[in-house]
Amino acid sequence: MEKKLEQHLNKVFARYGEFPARDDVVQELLANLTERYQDFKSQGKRDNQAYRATIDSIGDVSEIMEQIPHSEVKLTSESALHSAVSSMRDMIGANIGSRKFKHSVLTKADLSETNLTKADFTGSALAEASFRGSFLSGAKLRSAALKGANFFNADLTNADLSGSDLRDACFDSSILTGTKLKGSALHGASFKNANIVGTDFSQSDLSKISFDGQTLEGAVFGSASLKQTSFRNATLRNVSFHHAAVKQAIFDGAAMNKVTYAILKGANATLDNVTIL
Amino acid sequence: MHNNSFGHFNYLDRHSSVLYILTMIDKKISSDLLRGHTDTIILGLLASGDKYGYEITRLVYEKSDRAYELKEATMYSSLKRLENERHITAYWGDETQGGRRKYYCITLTGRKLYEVNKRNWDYAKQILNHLI
Repeated sequence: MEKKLEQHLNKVFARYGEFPARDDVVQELLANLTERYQDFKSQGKRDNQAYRATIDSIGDVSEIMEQIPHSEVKLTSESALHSAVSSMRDMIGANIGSRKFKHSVLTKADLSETNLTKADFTGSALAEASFRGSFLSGAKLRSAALKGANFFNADLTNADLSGSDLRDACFDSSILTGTKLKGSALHGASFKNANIVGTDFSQSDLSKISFDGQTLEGAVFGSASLKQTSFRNATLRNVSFHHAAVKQAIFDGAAMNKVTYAILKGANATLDNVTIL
Repeated sequence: MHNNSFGHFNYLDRHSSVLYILTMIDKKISSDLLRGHTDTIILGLLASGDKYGYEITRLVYEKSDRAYELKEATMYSSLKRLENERHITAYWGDETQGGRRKYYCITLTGRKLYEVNKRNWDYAKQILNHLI
């Protein structure tokens, strides 16, 4: 376990390169973390849980580096970017918030459980990448190739994924508050138990997508394609469907407030079995 | 005297919104509010004897009735800052088995800083009690 913790620390400090106090810092942190891990174990946690909790207790190492002399590794040159990216591929649990990864090739990369707050992945190749449980609030993922990407349990608050290829992407259990999914290809994407509040789906292709049984608040479907998009038993509040093709959308058993109902009625949606809230 | 000896007055500026504090009353106390006092908390713990990193974290957790979990990075950066400013010194322990521990020892200026910070905090507390 100590080895696993050490490997994790080495990864976390990788982006700072070599600095004089490096070994000292890692050794001391490792001793603390090892003892913490043993404490978690003696509280009855299983190996995996204890490891998770220990990693979680580290916090943000950039706080430490503010106190320690080092030359910050800047990811400006392409070669530096590539090496950073390759060392990043399996950087589970790392903290790389606010970083720029524009136009990176990260196909199938494992970026799960990672702090990617405000990270910029504009135009990147991220097909089948995993962002499971990652923090992506305010992140830019515009015009990115994200086919089959996994955002399970990820926090995408105010993230911008506009114009991206998100076919077959998984957004199950993710937080999509204020997330922009404008003009995206979403065919085959899944949104089970996702938190849809003020999410912007305008101009996107949502055909055959299911929002069954979900609550959608303030979501925007302006000019979206909703062929056989299913809202069965869903609750819709203040959802906007301006200029959306809703005729073939399914609202069977849905509940909605008056505003939403009026908009849909005006757009000739089928609203036979709908409850007005 | 150090420039930041009266650092806790900043606390009032930063958190002048009474609402801010009110919304934070939770079982796990907002770490933001406490974080600004990490240096003082650590100095206070070292005043009663030398301690190593994890020992400090654990004591903070226990003494706060398990309400405040100090993140490793927060604690460590605080230790490094205090060390850079010579309010504490460090030495490696002589453990024969297991990982070696680095112990921290409070200096005379550290003790002085602790007293000043504590007085500032008492003063701030008084003002807050009038305001909230």
